[in-house]
Amino acid sequence: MKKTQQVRLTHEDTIVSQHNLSLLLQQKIKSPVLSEKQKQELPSLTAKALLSFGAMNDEMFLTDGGILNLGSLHTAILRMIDWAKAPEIVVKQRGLYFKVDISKLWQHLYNRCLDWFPLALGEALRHSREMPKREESTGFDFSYDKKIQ
Amino acid sequence: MVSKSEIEGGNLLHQLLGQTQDFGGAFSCITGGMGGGKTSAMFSWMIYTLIHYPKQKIFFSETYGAPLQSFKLLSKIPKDKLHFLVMENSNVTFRDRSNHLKEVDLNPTYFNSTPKEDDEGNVTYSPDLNDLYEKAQLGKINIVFFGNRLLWMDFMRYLRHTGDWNHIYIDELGEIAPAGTSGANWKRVGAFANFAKDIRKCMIKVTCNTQAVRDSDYRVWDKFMFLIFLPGAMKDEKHSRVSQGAIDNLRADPYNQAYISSKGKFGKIVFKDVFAPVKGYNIEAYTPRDFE
Repeated sequence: MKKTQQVRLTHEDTIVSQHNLSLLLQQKIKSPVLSEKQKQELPSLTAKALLSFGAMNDEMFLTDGGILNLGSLHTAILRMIDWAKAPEIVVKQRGLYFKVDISKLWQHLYNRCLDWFPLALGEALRHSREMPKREESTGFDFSYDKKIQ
Repeated sequence: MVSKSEIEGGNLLHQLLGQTQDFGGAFSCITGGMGGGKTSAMFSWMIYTLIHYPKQKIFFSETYGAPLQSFKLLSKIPKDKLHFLVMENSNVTFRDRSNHLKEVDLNPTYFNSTPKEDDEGNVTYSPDLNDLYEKAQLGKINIVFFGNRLLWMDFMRYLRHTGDWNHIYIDELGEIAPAGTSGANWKRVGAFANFAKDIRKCMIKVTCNTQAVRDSDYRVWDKFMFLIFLPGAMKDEKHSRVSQGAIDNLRADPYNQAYISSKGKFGKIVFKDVFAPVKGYNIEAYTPRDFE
């Protein structure tokens, strides 16, 4: 397997990473909590694929209002699996918020074997019914005891 | 981060509530759905005026036959800051809705009225507006009852001659300058609309609220200098750039957000004060005219 420092993956890398990701997901389904050893043994290409996703999205929001800053997407995917109990996640991209149905994301991951994670996410975004929303503007706080200058 | 709408909201509010000779008075209307916070918004501004301009007269026009809203102010100010004024011979009484409509004495100050007899021998009473203005107290909310809300139009026209800064707050403008009038009332509302253009020059701050601007006469709503949209309001394409979608996205929890719009500009404000009903005050003003 060709080793490269670039984040962009070759076709061969993509197939391998997708395969590893599938293994990871299957492993996760079998065992809800991965041990530290299992995490360390994860193939590096999977981590790299996830990292490239991390470069696209620096923040991930939970629908319940929680925010997670992602150092690496490796962590993100593991956390996402843990969040799978929640039906949706909200992803911030280019200043817009997209709501992603997590079950659809998994569906894309499994059904389209040549897709790797970021592409699957892209698909999920395209199928998202949520209209992109701008950040809510703030308002001037008015209280009668403060004089407006 | 401070957004543009916050800055613009602050600027417009400064124009609306501030007092400079350059800008003068203001004619503004607050609209919003039922329970959208119209009264709370108006009360916030009323107390703001009471605190920051204690040497100016504040008048408040309440509706008849519904619990008086002014008692909500007691959650923020002491009772002696409310001053009730009733026109003599107006037959206005106050009744406790929690006690079988038993009459209660709010210890109002009565101002004079003059009788007028028409060709058919019917006697009506006109308020002595000079007497009313003299009896209104500084540093208090003067809640005035004429027994006929249309008389507020005459009172506002009277205030332009006083030369002082005056503040008028009107609950339900649609009862004061109603839409769809005819005959003498149509002319009367027209005369008021004509005067409304001078509100700014005459240093009168008139703040009204209504569920929809269309409840009041179209000649009057053409004169609004500021429109405030609270949650549940209907857009006013002719006078404001604020869209219905933007209004529908306003939050009412935990505080009411609102758009303030004037001369093609608009901004967002948040009302931080909440005025809840005060226990023990479920009193209405009653006038026989309600059934005319």
